[in-house]
Amino acid sequence: MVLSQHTRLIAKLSAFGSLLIATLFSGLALAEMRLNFQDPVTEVARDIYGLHMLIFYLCVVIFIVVFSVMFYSIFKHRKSKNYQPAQFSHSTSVEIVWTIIPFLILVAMAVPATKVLIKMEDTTKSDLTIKITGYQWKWGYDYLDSGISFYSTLSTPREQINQFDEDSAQPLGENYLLETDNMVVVPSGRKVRALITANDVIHAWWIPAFGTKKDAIPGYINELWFNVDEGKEGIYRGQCAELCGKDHAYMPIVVKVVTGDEFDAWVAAGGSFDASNIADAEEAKEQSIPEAAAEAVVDAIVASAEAVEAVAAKTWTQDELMAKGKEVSATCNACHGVDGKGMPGVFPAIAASPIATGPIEDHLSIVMYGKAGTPMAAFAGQLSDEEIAAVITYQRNSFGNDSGDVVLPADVKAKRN
Amino acid sequence: MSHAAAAHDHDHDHHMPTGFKRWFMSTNHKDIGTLYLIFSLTMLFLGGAMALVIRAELWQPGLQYVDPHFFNQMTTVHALIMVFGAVMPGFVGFANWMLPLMVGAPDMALPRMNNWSFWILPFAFSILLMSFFVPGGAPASGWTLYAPLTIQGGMSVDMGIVAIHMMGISSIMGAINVIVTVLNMRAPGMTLMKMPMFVWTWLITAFLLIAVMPVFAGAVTMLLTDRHFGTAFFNPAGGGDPVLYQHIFWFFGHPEVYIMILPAFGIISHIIPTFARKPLFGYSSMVFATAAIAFLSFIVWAHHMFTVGMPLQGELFFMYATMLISVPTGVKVFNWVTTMWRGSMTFETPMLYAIGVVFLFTLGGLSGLMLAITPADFQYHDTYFVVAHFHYVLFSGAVMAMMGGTFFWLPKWTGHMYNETLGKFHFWLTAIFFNVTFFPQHFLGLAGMPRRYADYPIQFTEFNQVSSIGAFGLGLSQLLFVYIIVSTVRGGKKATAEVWDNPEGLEWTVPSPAPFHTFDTPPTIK
Repeated sequence: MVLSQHTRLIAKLSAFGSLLIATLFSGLALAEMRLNFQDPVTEVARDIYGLHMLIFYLCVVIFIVVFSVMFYSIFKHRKSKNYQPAQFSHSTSVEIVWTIIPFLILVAMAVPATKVLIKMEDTTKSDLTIKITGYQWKWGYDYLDSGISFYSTLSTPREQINQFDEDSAQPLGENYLLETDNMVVVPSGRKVRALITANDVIHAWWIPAFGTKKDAIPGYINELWFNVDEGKEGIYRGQCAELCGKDHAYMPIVVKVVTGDEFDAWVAAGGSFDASNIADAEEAKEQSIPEAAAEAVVDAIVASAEAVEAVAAKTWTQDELMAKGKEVSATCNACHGVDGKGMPGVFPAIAASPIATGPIEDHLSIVMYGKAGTPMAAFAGQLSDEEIAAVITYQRNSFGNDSGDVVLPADVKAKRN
Repeated sequence: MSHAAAAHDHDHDHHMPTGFKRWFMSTNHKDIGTLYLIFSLTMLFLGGAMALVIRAELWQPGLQYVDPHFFNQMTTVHALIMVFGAVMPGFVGFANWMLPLMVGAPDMALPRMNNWSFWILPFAFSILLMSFFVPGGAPASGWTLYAPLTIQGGMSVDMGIVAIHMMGISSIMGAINVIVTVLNMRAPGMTLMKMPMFVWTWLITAFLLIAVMPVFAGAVTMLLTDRHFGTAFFNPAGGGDPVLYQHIFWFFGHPEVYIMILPAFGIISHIIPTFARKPLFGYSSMVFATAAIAFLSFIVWAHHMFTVGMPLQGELFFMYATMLISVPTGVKVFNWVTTMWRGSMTFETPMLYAIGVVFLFTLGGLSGLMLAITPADFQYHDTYFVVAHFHYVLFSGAVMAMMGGTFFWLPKWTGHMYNETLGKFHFWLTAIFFNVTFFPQHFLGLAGMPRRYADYPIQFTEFNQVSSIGAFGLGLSQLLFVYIIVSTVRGGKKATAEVWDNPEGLEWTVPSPAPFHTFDTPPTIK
């Protein structure tokens, strides 16, 4: 029974084929080595995934049809098989047909694509708004509804990144390049609107699982939105997607999605997951007395203001400033090098530089207000008086610079005014 | 053929220059064509070497060989060299060699300008390459030179801008030469609709070049004044608009990708009918499709920048217009396949290349269709999916078409047959390693690896390693290409005038190698 053999063969082949496709595109079979989009966790991301697969299958069909015709003629219509060439060279009806059919396929594609696009661009009726600012090379986040704001920088240690010398290099961690010091916290089940801009050059904010990507452009405020499904709480990771200079690969985006209640507690605690702050806020919530909750917030603000004052009033010694400065200067080292030697022509050296060994006034001004036309950013808004004072003191007394200068927070404060 | 014989006899009256005079002061279209082709091949190796630096660094996560700043210089200059140094001059070389032969003209219309347009290029690229040695190194802001990142760059950006101006001048002069030659110097009886496809595609390409190179020149000049003269066209610090730069750049940049592919379509349209022993199917629809593609290329630029935050209406318009391009492009692919249909095919090296181009370019075209769908494009944009897409279009489309064209016309150029076994070997090495290099990049992009990254998270390691292996294989295979060409130039089996089995076109009516001066008396086309 030749026929049944064929049928069986075809059945086997198609079973194998569908297994193969299932393996390739389930995204579950190969958790580490992904072949397709990350699993979508928002409605828009699911729509995009659907569109993507629809057009992918369509392309596969077109590909198979066109090239089965081509390979059929390659195998059958060849000179070595003594095939005599036909001499036809045009057929108006065929040409009209193969212009119109692709056109109709495109119309069929354009309709769902248009629907999804309209949904994607509708940022109205949001529950909360986060302003996202791209910097070389970190992200700044401001929660416009609650006043929480922080910066988020890569937390992968440089010792892992620099593998130039294999002996001193550290092995790479599990979340290599996908980890930050501060995470963006958002609630599930609420529509989050993000306003996106940049401080220096163009960056792009991208979380693949949310189906969002928008450029962060200086002078522009772009918008995007996402609404993570309830039950999909967890940590989602993305990266900057627009070439933004040397450390383009080193500005990841890490978003922690929590339930609405957890988010409210987080906001009430002033953007901290610190257990005692959350306990206070939750206690207030349990008592369901709005005044108590408000009081807790006020207390937190007063406490933090007192802490700030205490720091400012403190008399800093050079050693203290040096220790703190070394900590803060990780930001500077990304460009100017851990040895302070910089990168000639691009990032000037700190060691023996006219800025770090010259007048303190100039040094303060370049750290606080940056330098136009270079990647040197203005840090006046990003660092506190203490941090600026510490880092300048550190730079003036290390890398072979031994001025002995001490810059105090009060000096920075004076410069600010 | 009588005119061929006459042309050959006539040849003895001419003095053929030698040495320095022949190669440095040439006004002969064949010698200038040869210079262009050698230049293009040199640049292919130089740009390829930079690609190998990139692939070596991406072999595994972490920084092993180069720092990220040098990595950015490599990606930027690799692209600039491949686009302006390898692909564009390569096609100009083909135009110089073949257009006069195909239209029955004695030479290009403006031979001294032809000399000029070539000799500008080595100087332009010397300036670009010298920028590696200035403080701060070469341009590192990507070949698109997006503002405001370019405003931050060092003096190398200015050197790059000067080099781009010179390349642009060279391209425009080349384009003027093509247009004047094709429109004024065709043999009697060769109406526009009798012109060979390569001539048609180049004529349309030349108009594209003249239309868009000045736009690019304008954009980089504005960058230059932003950098040094206090203007703020693109500098947001002075109220400028970085998105304006992208609009201007891509108004040049999108037609540019068709400048790099249309002549390849022309070459393929000659190779396939020859080896299928059957006339090209749908000649006139091929011409109209080419013109339609050229027209549409002007109204789709913003699909390179869907994520800059355009209004919804703009995104919809550019999505529809972009999708539309697949219709004429599809017509071309269908025409090539139908030309093969019921032919009597043989598979010499040029035909292998032509089939490879149709097959792989279509793959690139289909991923292009996916990119056209705006909501999905948001996810593909600036990832390795895009890198894979444009290498399928530009390497397996443009570069492999040039390789096929080289094998196709090499006997006509040199008078010798190349080694067929080695030629086929070269095709298979190139095609296989090309796919090993770029196919995995589709998966990398979908899984979320952004492009222009010097370093990447660990889950992208495996595919990057496959890609790097492929890249080194692809690079090394091209040494065989050089060997085949050099050994063919130096000797080998004598080629007949027709070379192939009954090919179409005036170039096959003259002896191989084509005499230094052809068609002093124009041939007549019936």
